[in-house]
Amino acid sequence: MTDDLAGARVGPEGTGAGAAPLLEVRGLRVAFPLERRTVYAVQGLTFEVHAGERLGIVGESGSGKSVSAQSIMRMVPFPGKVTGGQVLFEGRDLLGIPDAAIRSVRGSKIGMVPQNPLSSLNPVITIEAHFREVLSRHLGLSRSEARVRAVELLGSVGIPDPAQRLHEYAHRLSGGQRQRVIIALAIACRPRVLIADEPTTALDVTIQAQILQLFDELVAGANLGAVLITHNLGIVAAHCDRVVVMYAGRVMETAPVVELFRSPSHPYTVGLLRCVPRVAMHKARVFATIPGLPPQVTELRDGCPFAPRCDRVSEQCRRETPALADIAPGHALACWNPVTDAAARAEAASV
Amino acid sequence: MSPSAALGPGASQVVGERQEALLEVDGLVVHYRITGAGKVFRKHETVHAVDGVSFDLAPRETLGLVGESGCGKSTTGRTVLYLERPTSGRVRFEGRDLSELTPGELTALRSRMQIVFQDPIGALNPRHTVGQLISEPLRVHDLVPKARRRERVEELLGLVGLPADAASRFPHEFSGGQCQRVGIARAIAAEPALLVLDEPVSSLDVSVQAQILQLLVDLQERLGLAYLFIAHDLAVVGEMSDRVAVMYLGKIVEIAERDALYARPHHPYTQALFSAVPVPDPAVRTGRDGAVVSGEVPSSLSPPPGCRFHTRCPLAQERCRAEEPSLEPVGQGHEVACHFAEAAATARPFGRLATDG
Repeated sequence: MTDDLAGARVGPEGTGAGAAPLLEVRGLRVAFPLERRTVYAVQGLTFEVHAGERLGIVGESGSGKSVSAQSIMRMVPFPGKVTGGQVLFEGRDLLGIPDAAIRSVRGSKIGMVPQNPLSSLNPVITIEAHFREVLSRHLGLSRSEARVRAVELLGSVGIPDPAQRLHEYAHRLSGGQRQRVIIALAIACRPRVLIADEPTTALDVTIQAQILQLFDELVAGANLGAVLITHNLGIVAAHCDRVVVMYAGRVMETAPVVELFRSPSHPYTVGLLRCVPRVAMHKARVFATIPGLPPQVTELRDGCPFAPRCDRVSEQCRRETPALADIAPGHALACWNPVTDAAARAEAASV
Repeated sequence: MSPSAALGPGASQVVGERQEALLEVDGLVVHYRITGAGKVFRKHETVHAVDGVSFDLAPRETLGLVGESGCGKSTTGRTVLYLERPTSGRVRFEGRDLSELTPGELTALRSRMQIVFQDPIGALNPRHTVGQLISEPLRVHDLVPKARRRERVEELLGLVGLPADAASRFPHEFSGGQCQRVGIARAIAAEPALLVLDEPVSSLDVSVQAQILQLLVDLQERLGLAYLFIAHDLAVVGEMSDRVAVMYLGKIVEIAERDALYARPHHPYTQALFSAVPVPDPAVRTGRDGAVVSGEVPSSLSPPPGCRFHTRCPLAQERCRAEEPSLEPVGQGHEVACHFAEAAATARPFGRLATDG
């Protein structure tokens, strides 16, 4: 089952072979053994993140995108287990190092912004205590040094009156401000990689726009490698450089963002692009849909996981699993019958 | 109970040729008294959830109600059905003033107006089968004799695109999208004229979201329903609505025919919403020119004086801080509550909007 490893290596255009990626995930597999069945959440995920690059991972619920992010940091919730693959960071495989070593990477060299800003802060300690914990654990800062740095960090993420905010508890802050605090915590130790898992789903659109703008500034300012996990193709279009489209735990298609939107080739990508509601000029009467539901993979069998919902399905799709293969520089695809029709693509890109 | 028998005189005056209104909402105010923290004694405060909202809705029409969380859109939706009593203001449905009805009459009238909730799974009793859930409104309103209920449930399941054997299964056996279909089947079981749709697709995946929107559009055409479509997503609202009302802190700041609003939004807040929508096209980068609206929605415990948006509005002037703007017409059926509506429409304080092709 190493077909995905042998498949295309996902690299950004223009970086050339010289630049080594900051973070490299190879053939990652995650499974959740449950009482009566096993859910194969991720089945051979491969991608790279370079400095200054924003990689978007898109997929619907159950596609394995969040579990992938968690497994990079070895934080897959019980009973999930990483069953294969490598996560290469600074020359080491994070999946193979001892627990103590991963703890010095987590929250320090790799920062994580979790999905729910409302429940990710500890309600019974002050904002300052959150910073003190991170800064003394990873950087060994004293109480007063940590306070100075915390004020600086809160200021840099746009919290008004940061010195005052330090003494407050999470419930006194709005959702947007809590997400800013969480971002400040994630970048407190100057990480090289920032992983944001649906950072704005719980927020209103105007606040979402503010947070994503902050995300862009931070990535550009510190030359971070960023992984942005989202289900929103609009966010991907505006805030990512490269995209990995996941479905049922597999990579369906990956490409630089402009290329993906200009010439989507996997029927799933095309379908997804068609479904996205757009601020169009007229009321819709007919909505593009993908029939059926996203699956939960509980048995390993050959064949494309999208075949039951695909309008281009053939006998081969049901029998053999397509491997991820390059179709253009930086553009890889796992499909036996890709969409090549320019008309269908154009329709998907600009309904 | 015939829908056309008791139409009142208050037909729409907003737009000339519109037909008699199915639903008229006039000066709706919903305040909640709460006990908040005080220095020594707890003090009483008032949440200004809805502060003077008026609109009407014609049969078979869809009015979209958009705004951010806390703007009062859901409260408006619930109050329209008298699930909550307004503090003041009037709701007329099919010509009858809801405040004048006895509880019995109100229950009877509810078969004509139903609601679909945001959380599709949470809205269904997990201990009831789908069949029980869908036959509940039939039983409550005594619409179908017991012997024929099963048949009607199967018919309703077919209407919303679920297999007939779903009737004997429980909600947990279904996905979010399928549960929402059950919620819709429950709502249309009583053959209503009005459906309040409170964020019906916001918790669903895009591919499933499109399926549910298609179902709603088809049902509207087949059953002649009017929709009050509540959502925070301008793209979804735009796809569904004939007219759109934008709410901010308990008030409607702009209301217009869908096409007019999307072609030329006047109110700076409407523009802010449009500029914040992420556009699924890498070539279009809205909000990139630093034109993201700043600040957050102020507390509805003490809304700002004057125009409620002035704390975040780049065009705000002295007058906006002192004097509250009322909804004034700027075109056919297009009303805006802004002292500088025309200037704002031209000034474009938030730059490129998602509607700009």
